Amino acid sequence: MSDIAPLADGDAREAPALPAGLLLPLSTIGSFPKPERLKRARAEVSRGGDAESLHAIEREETSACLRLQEDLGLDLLVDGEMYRGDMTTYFAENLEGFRISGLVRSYGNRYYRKPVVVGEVRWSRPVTVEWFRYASGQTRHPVKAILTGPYTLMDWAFDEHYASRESLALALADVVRQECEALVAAGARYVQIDEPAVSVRPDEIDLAIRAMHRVTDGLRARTITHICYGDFAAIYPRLLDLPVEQFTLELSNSALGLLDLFRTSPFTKELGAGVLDVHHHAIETVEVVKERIRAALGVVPASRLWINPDCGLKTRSPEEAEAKIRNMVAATLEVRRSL
Amino acid sequence: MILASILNSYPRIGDRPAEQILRRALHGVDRGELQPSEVAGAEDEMTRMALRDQSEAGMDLLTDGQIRWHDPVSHVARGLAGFRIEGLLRYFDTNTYYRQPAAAGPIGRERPFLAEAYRFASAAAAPRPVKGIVTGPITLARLSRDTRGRGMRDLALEIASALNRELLDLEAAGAAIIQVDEPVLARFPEAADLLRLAMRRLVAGLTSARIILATSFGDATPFSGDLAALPVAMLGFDVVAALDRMKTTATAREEIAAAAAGLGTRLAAGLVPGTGLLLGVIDGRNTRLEDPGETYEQRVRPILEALRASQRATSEVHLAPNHGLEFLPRDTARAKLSRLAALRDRARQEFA
Repeated sequence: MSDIAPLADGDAREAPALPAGLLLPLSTIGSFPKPERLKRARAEVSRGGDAESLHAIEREETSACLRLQEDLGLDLLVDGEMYRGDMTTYFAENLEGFRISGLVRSYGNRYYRKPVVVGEVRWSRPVTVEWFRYASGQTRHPVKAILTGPYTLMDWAFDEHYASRESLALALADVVRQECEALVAAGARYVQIDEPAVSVRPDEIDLAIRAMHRVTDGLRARTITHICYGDFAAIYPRLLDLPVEQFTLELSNSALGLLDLFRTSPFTKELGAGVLDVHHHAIETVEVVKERIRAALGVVPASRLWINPDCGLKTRSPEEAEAKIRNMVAATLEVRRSL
Repeated sequence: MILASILNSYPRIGDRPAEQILRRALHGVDRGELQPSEVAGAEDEMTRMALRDQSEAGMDLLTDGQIRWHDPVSHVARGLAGFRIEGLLRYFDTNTYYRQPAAAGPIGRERPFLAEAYRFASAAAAPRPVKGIVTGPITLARLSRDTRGRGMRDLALEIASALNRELLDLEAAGAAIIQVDEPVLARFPEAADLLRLAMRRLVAGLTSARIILATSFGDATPFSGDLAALPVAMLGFDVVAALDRMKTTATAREEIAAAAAGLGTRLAAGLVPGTGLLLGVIDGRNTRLEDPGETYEQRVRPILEALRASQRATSEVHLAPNHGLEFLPRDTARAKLSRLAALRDRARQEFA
């Protein structure tokens, strides 16, 4: 959304919270598959088509995504990111100091337009707040706000401006903090700050932690981070010093290997256990998901365990995503009953 | 002899529709709308485009851009027996991934898996030469999961023996230069001893092909002396990373050039006479375009001067990017190639 004014104090509205004592809360990482008509509309806009009709479709599909999450029985909902392309490029497009590059490969047959830092990065207006408000208005469930963290925004951009990775990461931390504050003012109780890049340079974990302190210290919200597909052994248990309350992590892609790592040193935070592999077409059975949940219960108590897919679901077809979540919910309910 | 060449990979997509045929073909197969054979045709065409870009930029030695490679690790592991391919992991500090191979049985090679692609590229690039490229045994072993419990040393040596057959086939396919990529070396210098053993197995029986051992993803120059005795014709280093490390406090141009001269002296001192150098002097990870004049004065000239001043003559220098170019948008990759050619031309004027 491009025409958003900063929030006035009177706009603040406290979003609902999860029921007290709920065990194994069910959530997702953020993105849902984009329906074909949305993809077509996005492609048309990139060729100079009508942005307003795309915006209308994004709103409709966001509503549909929230209804789907309610129907499937998820507890903490997300807006589904129907309006976002890539997780870094979207923010770069809406902050000052960036330009967007030509296509580069992400993995397999996926490509994205990578941000390029060409000047001082600045936050001049809310980026996600209007979507948070819109999504919250569509449901009685709490909605988790999802942002990309400063270390990842730094690491996944080409930097043509700053003198060092540190100076760019800390400047971005101030930018992300401003967005967090705007979300909290709009009523967000749960804020997830994704940092998938923190595992790739173990020597920079301290920088990632410093940057996250700037984002979360004193923030009036439950804080979560999502990390995936990295060399966790190189940064564990130092990873736990990232100042957030919950880590949503990819467990299924690595065949639950991360749980072995967590046995080497206690996992002291809340764990959002990834029980669905989002990079495989195959639908996990309820039994398989139950096994994964029980395995996760072996390293953290039920009071600190959340259940989610490994990563964002945008890599799957809408049918696959729905079937996977359906089994995740069924498995979680069965395990809940047994606790 | 001073040549210009890319290190290994090249973008497999661009912003023009004609540069997106491979993406469309793969999507088509994924949706069941196209036959898998149509992917091969798109790979052929993207390979031709990668060769054409290099050729038009004046590169002296080309690569096929590794257009057909899923990633640098699993592509080679899939060609070998004894591996199964597992989950995604980030490839070093890039926002790209590789599928991790798991060594589950004896490692072998049943049939050639790189030679046919080499023949295709070589024919398409003629008369310019193409270098064959294979990911090395240390990198493959280190980035794989060893489920056999026999350790990394055992795995690396088995991989070297299996890959030896592939190198022999590449040589038979006409590859006069074969590059062995060992990007993990800069991060695990303790593997240098194992590399000596593995390289002997890897190159056994080659009669004419010359081997480049290429490092990347960090500065391997501090232990260049450990690599000197390897049975290779050329050693490749990430000069951008080496200078970044050395000049953390130096900003003046003279100080950076002095650091480069020191690097050149150090490299020359460790070289076996006659060994060539591949110098990664263009940053393949950042869109910032190098100023050719400044880059020449700060990164190229001081090193070549130091090499000339040493008593250990270097027979051949390849100027290159420090990484594969697939991490850059295609237009930026092209612009980097033209700068590389300009550096090569200036170096030839002064040092040829």
